[in-house]
Amino acid sequence: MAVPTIKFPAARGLTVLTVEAGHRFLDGTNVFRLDASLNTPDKGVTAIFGRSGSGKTTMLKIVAGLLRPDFVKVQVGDTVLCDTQHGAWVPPEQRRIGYVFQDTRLFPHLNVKNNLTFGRRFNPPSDNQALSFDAVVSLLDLSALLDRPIHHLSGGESQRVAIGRALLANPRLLLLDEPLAALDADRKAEILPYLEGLRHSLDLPILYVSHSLAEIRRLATWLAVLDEGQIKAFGTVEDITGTMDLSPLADDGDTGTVLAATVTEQVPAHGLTRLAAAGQNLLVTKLDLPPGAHVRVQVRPQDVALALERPENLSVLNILEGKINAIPESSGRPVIDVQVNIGSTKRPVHLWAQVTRLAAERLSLGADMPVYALIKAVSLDKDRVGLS
Amino acid sequence: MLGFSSLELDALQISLTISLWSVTWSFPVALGTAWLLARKEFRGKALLNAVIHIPLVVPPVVIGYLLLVLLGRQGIVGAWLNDWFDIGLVFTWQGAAIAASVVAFPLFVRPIRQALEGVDPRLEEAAITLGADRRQAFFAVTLPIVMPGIITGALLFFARALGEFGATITFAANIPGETQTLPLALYTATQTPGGDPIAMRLVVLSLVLALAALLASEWLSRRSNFRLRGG
Repeated sequence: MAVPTIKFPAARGLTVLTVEAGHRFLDGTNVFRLDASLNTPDKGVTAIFGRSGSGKTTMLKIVAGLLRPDFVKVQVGDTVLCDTQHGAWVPPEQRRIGYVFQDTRLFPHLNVKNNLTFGRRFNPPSDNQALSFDAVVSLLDLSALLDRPIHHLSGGESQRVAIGRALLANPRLLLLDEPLAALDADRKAEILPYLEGLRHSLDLPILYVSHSLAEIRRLATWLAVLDEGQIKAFGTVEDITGTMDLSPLADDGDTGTVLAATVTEQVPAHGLTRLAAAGQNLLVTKLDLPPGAHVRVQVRPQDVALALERPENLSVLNILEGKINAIPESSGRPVIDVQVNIGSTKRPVHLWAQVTRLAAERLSLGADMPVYALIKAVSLDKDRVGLS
Repeated sequence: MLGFSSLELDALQISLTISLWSVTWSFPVALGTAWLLARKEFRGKALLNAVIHIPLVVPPVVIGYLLLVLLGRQGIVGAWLNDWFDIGLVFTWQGAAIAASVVAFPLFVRPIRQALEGVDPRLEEAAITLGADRRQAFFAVTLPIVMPGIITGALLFFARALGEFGATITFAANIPGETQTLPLALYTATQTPGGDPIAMRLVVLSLVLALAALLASEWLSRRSNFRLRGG
């Protein structure tokens, strides 16, 4: 996997997170190392993406203080949470790191309300930055659940309660460890809007561990790719997905590119919405959004076809002008990925197209060739377009 | 009172005192032991487990005799207690309580240990991320969840301590007004000519006490189960 240039997001006020750790196991041979430094924005979601065993959960546990390796340094903003070289160790209960576990870990002897307020017993809200109970309840739509026992909750409801419980403990940083991994598709769809809501209304950096690209595209603004304990890439989701092929690391087989786009007009007669992306027109199935709304469009490589000339008499509505940027080595596979720049040379916008090796040979595709990327409007439905 | 003689009422009072005192003092020890056995790995764990269970498998008289050897006036620990602190346990109700506690102890530990093994230790981890230290996490999360196990253990322990005979008579003897518990008084009555009416009244007392203990534990476990269900 090529290591792209790391481009740090130009956000106002950054919360810099530094995590370094090393651990020698008892047998002396197996050494674990982690070196991850992120300029996480002080608001919004930064996704940590990587295959199983890449150190994602370990990293979160080290930040929260649940693991204590031989050597460790964790710093959030100006606050050093631990630094073994200087003998610093803030115990985990004093770190104010909100942690949402994949398996929720709600307390079975308490009802929803008492689970939510658990952290307040130990961390009474002192400063006025703390979220109020009512605010969290309405943010996560929990008011109907407050008196329920924990085992009368669905998977999605449990996860909402777990998020609320972490928020009410007044965290400085919120860690979400694959909160949707244990849920089926329906439950995921039920909880995603709440997670989107958090992103918009919380003044809190959120680290979101996942190996689902679909979730990351929908929720995260920034993306860090973690491999063998190292940050391989860090940047905006659009940049990283546009420049790297992350599909081998994903578990959901959902690869592709995210395009930033703006709603330009509705086409009610045809049930379509016109967007502008990279200065070009993009028609998608109808979105209930006003002109000017910023959206993110997921384009799967297998939905993109390539042509050398502007095709006529074709059912495909979206024909984007571009230039082939790169064709990564695909070592004899029958299907190859082609990276097309549909933006300008100055402001490149990358799109991945998947074509067969046969087609690529017939068209003699190569770098810097001008091409037309064809995307069917029906492949860009509601599930692929979300608010940014 | 109700036709009971002072000897019978004394026996009831001694039995109650010994059992309640034993439950109170054994509870923290049983909880700590159960926690060690359920959550920790250490050298000699199997040995500790075996030693705790010995009273279940040997005759109580053996336990009483071992206590005499250990805690008697000339005993290894007893002589030292006597010399330094002027504490004598033999022939006292405290001695009887120690005998009852040792015999009943494994019945207290087992249900708590089993309940602890059923609690996900990662719940405490979650509590720690919410601001509780280790001790608070245990008392706010794990302890309430194992409460039914504690109640079961306490009832089994209480019942066994109440019925304790062999170790008590061996170690603390059968002294009316000091160490004569209900079972010891009942035994004495059956050995005395014309003691049948006394024996019958003592049986009634024992049954009432046992029933009260059962009802109390039922009420407690209903309450804690209700709380476990989040009510």
